[in-house]
Amino acid sequence: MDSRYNTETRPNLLSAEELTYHVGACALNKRESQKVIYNSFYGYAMAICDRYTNNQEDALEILNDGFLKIFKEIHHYQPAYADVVSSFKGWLRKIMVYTAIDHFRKNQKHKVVTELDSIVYQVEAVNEDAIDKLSHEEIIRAIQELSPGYRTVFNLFIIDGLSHEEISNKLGISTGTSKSNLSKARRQLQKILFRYHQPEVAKNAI
Amino acid sequence: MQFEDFDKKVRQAADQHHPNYDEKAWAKMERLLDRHLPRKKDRRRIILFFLLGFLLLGGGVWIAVNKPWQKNEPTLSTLVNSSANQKKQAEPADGSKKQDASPADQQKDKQLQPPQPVVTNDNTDVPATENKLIDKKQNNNSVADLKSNKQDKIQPSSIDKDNQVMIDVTDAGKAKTKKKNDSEQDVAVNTPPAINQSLPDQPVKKETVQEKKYETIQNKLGESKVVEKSEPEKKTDIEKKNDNVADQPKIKEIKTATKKAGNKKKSSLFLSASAGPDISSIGADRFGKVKLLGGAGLGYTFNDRWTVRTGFYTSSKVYTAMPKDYKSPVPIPNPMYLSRIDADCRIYEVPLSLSYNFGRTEKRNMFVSAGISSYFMKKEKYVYMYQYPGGPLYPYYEHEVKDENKHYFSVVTLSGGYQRKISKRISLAAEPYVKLPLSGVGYGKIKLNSAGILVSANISLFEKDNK
Repeated sequence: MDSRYNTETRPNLLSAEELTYHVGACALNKRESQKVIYNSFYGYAMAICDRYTNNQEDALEILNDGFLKIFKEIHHYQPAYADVVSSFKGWLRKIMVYTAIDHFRKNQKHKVVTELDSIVYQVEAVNEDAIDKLSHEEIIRAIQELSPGYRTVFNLFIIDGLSHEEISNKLGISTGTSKSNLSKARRQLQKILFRYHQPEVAKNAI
Repeated sequence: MQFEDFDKKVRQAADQHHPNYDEKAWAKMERLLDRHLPRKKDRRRIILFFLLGFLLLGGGVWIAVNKPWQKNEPTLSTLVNSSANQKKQAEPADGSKKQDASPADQQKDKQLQPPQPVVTNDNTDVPATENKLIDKKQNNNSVADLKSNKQDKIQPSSIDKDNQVMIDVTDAGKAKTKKKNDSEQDVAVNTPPAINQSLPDQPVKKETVQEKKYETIQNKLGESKVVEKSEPEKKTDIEKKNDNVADQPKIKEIKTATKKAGNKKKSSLFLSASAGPDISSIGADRFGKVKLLGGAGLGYTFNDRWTVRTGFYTSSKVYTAMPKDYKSPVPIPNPMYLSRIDADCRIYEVPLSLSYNFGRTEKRNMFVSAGISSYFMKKEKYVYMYQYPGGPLYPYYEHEVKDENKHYFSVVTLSGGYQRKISKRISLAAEPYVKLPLSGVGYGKIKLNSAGILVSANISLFEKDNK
């Protein structure tokens, strides 16, 4: 996982001691502590899950499946470093991403293009002013509108920091296909954003 | 790198994206957990609860049915009095023969009571003063109770040697008898008048001995009078021997009654209130603080020997555990710097013990006891003391647990004690004890030992005062 990503953008509801206690209690299958951890990390986990779907129900399904895996394996969990909360968030993030991938593979309705064609798509750079005018909600909404295959590759590469090799292993595709889908995801995303901000984006649309 | 800014914007958007909490989401999650990670119901607790309930219910029903406090154990005095009462009821006051008494009853009466003087009716018209007949089975008392003055002397007269027993009276008030004929059953004893006085001829009535306390006295005028028998002044050897023989059944029966009264063990239910100092330790060298243990109990004693006790007690356990003693279910942060764990726990204890009583006297007894207790950790507070290299020892963080850990039948208690009665119903007991855990207790699963002295005031229930 790319260490550039800041996992401390929002304040934690649980202190390190509280998290340590509840993690231990979850290892004993204590329902009260499971609920505490679920509530505390709901927003953080849902922010990951709903990028991989285009509807709330699928996002909730990925979220709950992810937490179920966490509670099943929590007795094996050991903090990777001194910061207990950051360690736990990183572990939770990884599980949510893998759960989203599993969900995509299980519900794959769109075939991912397996081979790159010989055409290299030229994508022009996006104007910085136009980028600044994009709100975070619009970007997320636009990502959600991508095709499932493109959306998955885009999320894995751009946001979650997986390499094309890792993506190809996870999705069962070649690295070339992964690159192709990423390129197509960018194009589609720009078109969507163009639709949101048609006058500004049109100037820079490919 | 042309999309670097755009990618950065996208990542920022993703980091800032934080959906609101949905309450319904947990409901769905809980259903998922119930299906895949169901909570195990501790059926053992339910089974133990019902078992304890059945035992208490059964014990209560048994006590209610048998009512051990209402059983009247016969004592010696009650036995003798009851026999006297039975005798009074069986015999009229005038000492006349009871016609409807069965031979067995008559025999029994004779055995219980000392022989009574009677007036015999036989065919021989013998002056009463000169005829003394002895009931061979009811001997010396009737004969020896002769009252006469010094002037009275009885000279042996012509008597039917075949049917009567000769009595030699040498002094007033004394009589000696000689058994001549074993077939003689009845005896007539009269206080002899003066030997020189002539007595009117009076037929001597033959009566069986019925009343032990009365004797027929004939005065100088020949008038018979029934008076209360006085103590025998002296007995002859034969009389003594006969006494022993006659008294043996009575003594034997009294002894049996005494034995029965003595062997009848008392069973009793009692309440107790207890308090005393209690100290906890881990191992044999690390002791905690002395705290007060107190509570109330209920006990039942079987046959003065065995006592079953239970109750409810509360105490504080304050101790210090080393990291190696403390088995936390949760990974402890920076365990290499953890120095110790200071614990302060409030526990509820429900013991169940069996005691053996010995050295019992009327006032005191000693006992040894063994039992097993259940610990309910009401509140646990743990302070984790850390010490970094070169730094001071300081409390890193505190952790509280409430009403979480329950340890059924997990602590063995061994004790001995001394109990002393201070009144009919109340007794005091001092009981040193040690408590040894069968498994770890509390959040850290500590093998916590305890020791102390319990002082109890026991109050017997349903105890009758003997008047």
